[in-house]
Amino acid sequence: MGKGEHRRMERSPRKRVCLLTGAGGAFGSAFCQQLASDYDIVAVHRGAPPQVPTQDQSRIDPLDPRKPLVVNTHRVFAVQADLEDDREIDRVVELALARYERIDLLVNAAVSYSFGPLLGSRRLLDSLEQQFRVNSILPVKMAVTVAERFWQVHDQDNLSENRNVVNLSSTASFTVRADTGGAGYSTSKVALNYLSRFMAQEFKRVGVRVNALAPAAFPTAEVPMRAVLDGVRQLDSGAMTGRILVLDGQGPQLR
Amino acid sequence: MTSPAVSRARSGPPPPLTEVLANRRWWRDDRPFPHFRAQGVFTPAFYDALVEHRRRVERRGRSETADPSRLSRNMLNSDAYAWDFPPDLGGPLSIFVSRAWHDMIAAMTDVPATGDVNCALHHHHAGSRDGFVHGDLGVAWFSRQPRADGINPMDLARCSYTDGSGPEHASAVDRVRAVTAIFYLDNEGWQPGDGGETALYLRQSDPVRRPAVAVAPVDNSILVFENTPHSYHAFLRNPTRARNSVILWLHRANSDVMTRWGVEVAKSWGQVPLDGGIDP
Repeated sequence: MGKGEHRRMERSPRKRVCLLTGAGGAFGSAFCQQLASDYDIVAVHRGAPPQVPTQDQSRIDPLDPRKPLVVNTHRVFAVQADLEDDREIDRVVELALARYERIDLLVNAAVSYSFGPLLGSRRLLDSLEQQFRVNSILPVKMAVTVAERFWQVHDQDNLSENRNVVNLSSTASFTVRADTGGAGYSTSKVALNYLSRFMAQEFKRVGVRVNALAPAAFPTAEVPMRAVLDGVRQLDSGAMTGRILVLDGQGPQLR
Repeated sequence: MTSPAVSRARSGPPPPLTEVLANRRWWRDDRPFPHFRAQGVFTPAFYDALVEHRRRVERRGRSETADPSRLSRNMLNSDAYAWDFPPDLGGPLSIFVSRAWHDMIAAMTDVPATGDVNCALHHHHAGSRDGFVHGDLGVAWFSRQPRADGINPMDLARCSYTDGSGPEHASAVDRVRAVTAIFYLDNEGWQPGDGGETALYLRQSDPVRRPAVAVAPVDNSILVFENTPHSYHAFLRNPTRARNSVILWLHRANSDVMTRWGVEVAKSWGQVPLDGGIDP
C-alpha cells in the first residue's frame, strides 16, 4: 500500500450516513468501533478523536507496513469542532454534506456534566448553563441546522430513507435524587426529552423522526455498551417518533 | 516463564522481532504530521528484560558531567541525563540498534535509511523543564565501522556526532537525521498530570504548552516519526516523577534530503544544534 492509499476511505452507497456528536467519548468511540461497517460516520469530537481508523489515522503492521489491513476498511470521517460555537455547527454540517451528500441519522451524543450540591458550593451552579447548552440546546441546534441545510429540501426522500434524530438522554431524567448531585445533568436531560418531543412534532413536516434514548448509567452489567448501541439501531430502523427508548436493564421500553 | 529467546537476549544478540513484538497493529496518524504510535509493543517478558537492562545502567549512578559509562548530563540545552549506546552493546537494549529494528522503522516511515544509528537512554528527573519546539532534521556525523550486518552505530570515541571532529575526522561521513523513535519504559504507574509527554505541533511558533498531540510516556509504548521540515516536537515538563525512554535516530544521505526538500532546508540546519541541543 502506497503512502497516498492511507487516505483512501472505502464508501458503500448502501450505508446510511450518520452525523455523530460526542465521538471522542466512551459511547461515541464504541459507536465508531462497532457500527462503522453499517454507517458512513461523520464523527465530531472536541478533544482527542475516537480511536478508530479515520481519514487521518489508520492501523499498520510494523513488520509489513504496506499490507492492507481489514481493520482499516471502514474508516470514519473525523471532524474536530467546538460545537458551543454556532459557526462550528454550520461548518460540521457543511463538511458532512460535502463528504457524503446526505445525512440519514443524526445522533446527538455530546455531553457536559458536573455533579455537586446546589448549596455550599458554586461548582454546579457555575456549570449549569454549559450543561444546558450542550445537553439540551445543542441537539436542537444540530437538528435544525441539518434540517435547514438538507432535510427541508429533501422531504420526500426523508420519509423513504427513514431519516431521523436520536438524542442521547438518560434515566437520570426520570427521578429526583438530591444525593446524586445531578440537578444540572438530570434536568438538562429532562429538557432534552421534552425538546425531542417538540422536535418530533415539528419535524413531521419534513418527514424526519425524532426520538430520545435514555439508558441508565453505562456500560454496566445491567446496561452494557452493546445494549445502548442496539438502542440507537432500534430507533434508527423503526417508525416511531416523539418517543423515549428506556434502557434500565429490564429490557428496552418505549415511553 | 521466560522464553529461550528472551533468556538468550540478556547478554547476547537480541531475539527475532517476530518473537518479541506483541503488538502488530500500530497507529499511523497524519496529524499534526505523520507519526506512528503503539502501546504494548513488546511481550511482557522481553519488556521486563529491557527494564532490567536499563536499571543496570541506572545502578552505575548518574553524572553531572559528560561520562560515557553512565547516565550523564551531556546535552547542552537539556537538563536530562543521557547514556549513549556504546557501539558494541549487547543485551536486550541492543534490539533498538539491530538490523531488523532499523529496517522495520525505515520501511514503516518509507525512509531510505543508511544504517547509521544513534541510540541512547534518556532520563528526565522529576522537575525537568519544558523543552523547546523544534525539529530534528539536521546534519550528523559518523565514523565508518559498520558491523557485519551493515549497521553503523555511533562511536563518539572516533568521531563527534555533532561536527565530525575526532580521531577519524578525515574519513567521517555526514548524514542527516531521518527518523526519530522514542520508546518509553520504566515509568510504571504514569498518570495524566505526571507530565513527560512528547508533544507534537503543527507550527514551530506554537506555544510549547499547547501542542496538537501529547504522547504519554506509558510503559512499553513507542512514538516514531520521520524528520521533515515540519515535524515539530518538544518534551513537556514532568513536575512529579522521572521519565525514562530510549531515543533512536536513523539517518539518510545528505543528497536524499536535498532532492526531497531542496537546498533551502539546509540553511536551517545551522540554527538548531544536533545532539547536545535536541532532546525529545
